[in-house]
Amino acid sequence: MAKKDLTLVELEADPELSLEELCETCHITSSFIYELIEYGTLELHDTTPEMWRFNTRHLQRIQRVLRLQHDLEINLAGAALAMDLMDQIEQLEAQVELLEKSLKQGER
Amino acid sequence: MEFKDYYTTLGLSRTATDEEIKRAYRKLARKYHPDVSKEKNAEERFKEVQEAYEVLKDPKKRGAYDQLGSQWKSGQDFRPPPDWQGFSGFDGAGFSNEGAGFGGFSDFFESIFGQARQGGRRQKQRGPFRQQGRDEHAKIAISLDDAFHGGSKTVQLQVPEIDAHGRMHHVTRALKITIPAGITAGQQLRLAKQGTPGAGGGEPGDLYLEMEIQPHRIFTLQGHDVYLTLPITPWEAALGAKVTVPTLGGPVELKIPPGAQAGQKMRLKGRGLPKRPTPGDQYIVLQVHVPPAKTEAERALYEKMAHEMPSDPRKNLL
Repeated sequence: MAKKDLTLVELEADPELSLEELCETCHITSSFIYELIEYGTLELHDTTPEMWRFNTRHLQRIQRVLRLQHDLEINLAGAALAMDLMDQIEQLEAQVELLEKSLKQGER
Repeated sequence: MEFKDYYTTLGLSRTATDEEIKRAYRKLARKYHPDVSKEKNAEERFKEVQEAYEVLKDPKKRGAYDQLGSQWKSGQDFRPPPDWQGFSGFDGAGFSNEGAGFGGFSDFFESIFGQARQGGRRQKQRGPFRQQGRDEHAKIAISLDDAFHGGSKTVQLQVPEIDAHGRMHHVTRALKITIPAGITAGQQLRLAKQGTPGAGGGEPGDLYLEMEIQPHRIFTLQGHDVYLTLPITPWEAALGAKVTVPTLGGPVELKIPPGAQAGQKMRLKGRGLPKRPTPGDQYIVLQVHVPPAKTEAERALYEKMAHEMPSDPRKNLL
C-alpha cells in the first residue's frame, strides 16, 4: 500500500462557486438552495441566481444543514431553526468571551 | 481489531425493538452531533452511535451482527470466523452516510460489512462498478497570528485508504497546509480530491478542513474584527494621550482624546483580519486603571484632587 507522507497543498483564500458548481460539489439540486434562502439560512446579496457566488462559509452552512437533516432525522424547517439558534449561541459566546476578558483585566 | 458492542453503544439490550433503537439513536445523535454538541469527544462518540445505528436499524445487518453471538464483549480482540460469508449481499444502497458526513466507520464494521461501504448517494448508475470516493472532514486549530499573517501548518489526519485488494484501512497522513491570510473561524478549506480514494477508477472525494481559531491572550475575535481592552491611567483619560497599542500587524500609535471615559470604544480602521474588499477593524475598549496611592506624596496628590475637583459620579443613581 502506497503511503503518502507529505502532500503540499496550496489553497486559495476564498474560492467562490457558482450555483451550478455548488450543486455539483454538495450533490444537491438548486431548489434546495432556493429553500435555504427562503428560510434565511443562506444570505446572498446579488439578486439573480446567475450572479450568486458561494464562498466556503456558504458551503459549510449547506453541509451542516445536510448533516443535521440526515443525522438527526429532522426536516428542513427543524434544521434551519437549529442553524438560527447555533448562530445566536455563537454570537453570545463571542460577547461573553469579550466581557470576561475585560473583567479579568479589571481585576489586575 | 476490537469488537464493537453496538447494543451497549446505544444503551440497549439485545432484545430492543426497532422503535427503541430509533429512539435511542435520535436521543444520542442530538446529544453528540458534532455540529451541535459541546460534549467532549462528541465527534468520536457520534461516529460510534451512528455506526451502531447503521447496523441495528437494518434487520438484515442486525441479523448478521447477532449471528456473531452475544459472548463478545466490547474491546475484545475480534477476528471474523473463518467461514465468514453471506454478507456479500450488502450492496451500497443501504449505506447512507455519504457526502457531508463525518467520515468512516471502524475497522470492525469494515471487516463485517466489507466493501459494501463503498456505496451510497453518489452511486446513481448500476452496471460497471465505478465509485467516487467519500468526502472527508476534519478540524484544525490555528493561532490568531496565523489567521492574520497566513502561514503553513502541518496536520496529521487519519484517513481511509483502499489497498490493492479493495479493502479499506485507516492510515495517518501528514498534510502541509498553506493557510491564506484572513481566514476566520468556521471557514473551510476544500482540498479537492484529497478525500477517500475512489474505487474502480472513480474520482477521489474531497477533504474539508474546518478552521478553529485558538483563543488569544489579549485579542478577541468577532468575525473579522479584533477587540482589545486597553488599560489607561486616569490622567491619560482626562488629558488625552498618545499611547502605543498592539495590533495583529504590530504596534501602532493611538491618540486618546481628552475626557475619554472607561468603556469608550475606539476604532482602528482596517487593523482587523484581512478580508476582501475591506479588511476588518480593531476596536479598543478603554479601561481606566487607577494606581493605588502607595506613598505619602501620592496620597497627598489624590487628596488634593478630592479637594480641588469635587465630583459626584453617583448623582444619577440616587
